[in-house]
Formats: sequence, C-alpha cells, structure tokens
Amino acid sequence: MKCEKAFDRYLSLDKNQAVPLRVSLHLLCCPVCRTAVRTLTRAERALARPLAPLQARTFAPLLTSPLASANAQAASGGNSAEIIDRSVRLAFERIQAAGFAYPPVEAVARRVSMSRWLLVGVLMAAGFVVIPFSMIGEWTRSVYGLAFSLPFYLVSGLAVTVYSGLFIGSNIDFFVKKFGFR
Amino acid sequence: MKPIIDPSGLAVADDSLLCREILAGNERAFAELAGRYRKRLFGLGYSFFKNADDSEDFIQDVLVKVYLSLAQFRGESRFSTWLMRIAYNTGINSIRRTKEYTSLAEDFDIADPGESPEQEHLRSCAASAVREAVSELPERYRICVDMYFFYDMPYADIGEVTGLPVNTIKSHVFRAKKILRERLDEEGVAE
Repeated sequence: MKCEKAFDRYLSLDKNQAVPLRVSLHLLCCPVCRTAVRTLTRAERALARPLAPLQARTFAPLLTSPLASANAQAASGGNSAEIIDRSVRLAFERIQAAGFAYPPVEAVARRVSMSRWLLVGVLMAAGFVVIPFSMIGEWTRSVYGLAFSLPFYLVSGLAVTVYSGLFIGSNIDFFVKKFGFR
Repeated sequence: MKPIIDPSGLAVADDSLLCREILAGNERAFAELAGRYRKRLFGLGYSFFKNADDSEDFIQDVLVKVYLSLAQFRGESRFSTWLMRIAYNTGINSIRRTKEYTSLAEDFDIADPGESPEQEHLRSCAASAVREAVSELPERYRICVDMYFFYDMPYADIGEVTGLPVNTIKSHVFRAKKILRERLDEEGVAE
C-alpha cells in the first residue's frame, strides 16, 4: 500500500476506531508515516485536552471538583447545597425560584452488582444440578422415587425462572443498551 | 447519602450515576456534573456569543434545561452527547447571539494551564490548521470540525447533535485533518 493511500485511509478513521490491518502493516514498515501519525495524534490530543470533561482528565484531586468542595463545606458545617461555581449556583437558584427541584430520596435502593447476580445464579444452578447426585439426593431418590424427582425439578425450574426474571428486570438498562432493544 | 467521591478523594462517579443521584434529589451531584462540563459549555457559548458574560448566561440556560429535562434522559446516547445537543440547540435558537458561529480555533484561547512550551507550540500549530480548514466552510458546518477536534466527539455523536449527515461531517473533518497534517509537516513538528 502506498503512503498517500494508507494515510488517507488513516485520516478517514473515526475517534477510537480500530486501524485496518493493511494500514497498520504499512505503518509498521514506513517510519515516515508512523512519525506523521504519532505527531497527528499528539496534535489532536493537544486540541481536545483543554475542554475534556474533568473526570476524564486526571481524576481531579479532592478540592478541585465543585462536589468535593461542597462536601468539604458540608463537613465544616457549611450549607451542603453550597456550590462554588457561580454559573452553576445561579442556574440552581433559577431552578429553585421556578419551584422545580427533584425531591430528595432518603434511601436510594442499592443496586446489586452484575458479578454478584451471576455468582449467585451460577451457585444456585450448580446446587440444583449437584443435589440429586449428592448423598442426601441419592437417598431421597431411592426412598421417594419420582415423588421426589418431579417436584424437585419443577421447583428448580421455577426458581431459575424467577431468578432470571429478577436478574433481567433489575438490570434492564444494561440489556437494553447491550442488545439495542427499544 | 451515598458519597459521590471515594475515600481517597478521587472523583470516580460516572455520568449515569450522577444523573440518578440528581433525580434522587442530590444537589451536589448536579454541581459535580455541571463542573465536569462547564468548560465545554463555556467554549460552545463563546463560539456563539463571542463574549464571556453571554457565555456564562448560556451555561446557566443550558444547565437549567438539562436539569429540567433530566428525567427524560433515557441513556440511549452518552450523557455528554445529550448535553451537547441541548447546548447546541440553545445556542442556535438564542435570539441574543450574533449571526455567525465562530470556531474555537478562530477566536478563543483554549490554552491548558499545565501544558509545556512544546505542547503549546503543537496545539497552536494544530489550532491554526483547524482555523484554516474552518475558514472555508459554511457556518453550519464549522461546528462539526470544532466538535471533532476540540470536543473530542465521534462522527455519529456530531451527527446526532447537529442533525447534519454523517458523511458530510466525515468529509469536512477529513479535509481538516489533511490540512493539519500538511501544516505539521511544514512546521516540522515531530516527536
């Protein structure tokens, strides 16, 4: 691939888009293009840095974020709603003057993390699989036969269904975004 | 109340968590979220109004709108894109703004306080290339190039905010990148 063509292909890429293999190979072999790409990347970063959202920049230290300052003020007996930035404060005053503010919710329900949901789900499913083959399972099956097996599998299936429903229902945001459901 | 910062004092909450906290009545979360995007809003306001006072008013207008419509934010796009769409529409529809959108490359010193002289040179060189690219564009397309370079937004997000066709945005940004490359070559800026 020629330099100009490879570079044009590179320039047509979007933010964070993967570099095509052919362009990558060209960059590996061509130090001139490689240097140009590196310089261009640095230039683009330099342009974007000043207006980057604060959290994406450096994880601002404690007293540089308005919230941190507000927290510090609250800790020292100040008004917890006091906000250091003038524009933000004035905006909030306008919102309050209009009589609109989201009512405080005392206890926001904590969300269970995805990994905990999965861990418990796997343990539950493994339990249902293992129990019939355990010592107790073997004994109960030998004594009660189908009278044990049938209700056990029905209860297991029901439990897995209910658990899956709860899992999907409480993480609906994630599934909607992941699979693009509307 | 659940803290928005962790014990080490680092701001770690993501935008969606802050949005939920705001809807739960946490005013500090609103301050945090507004603080994150304040500079962006100021930059966009400056492009529309060309003075600091009107830009500050613009920030307030946008923040009020964001707060009032937050319950309607479904999380289908990134919060930053949604915020920029509100800001863009506010700027476009403002009766106080002067006629033309001015690129940040043309009329705004966006220096980062922490940057080295070498970085400053690179940035000013890049800004002048963007200025050149932007000067040839009609007003409505100038903001696309700004959004790509200064606001770090991908093509799809720019299209969503401005309502302009993504392919048109791509071609304008492509041309700006070519000019940027030529300018960097001419200036001999390299590693």
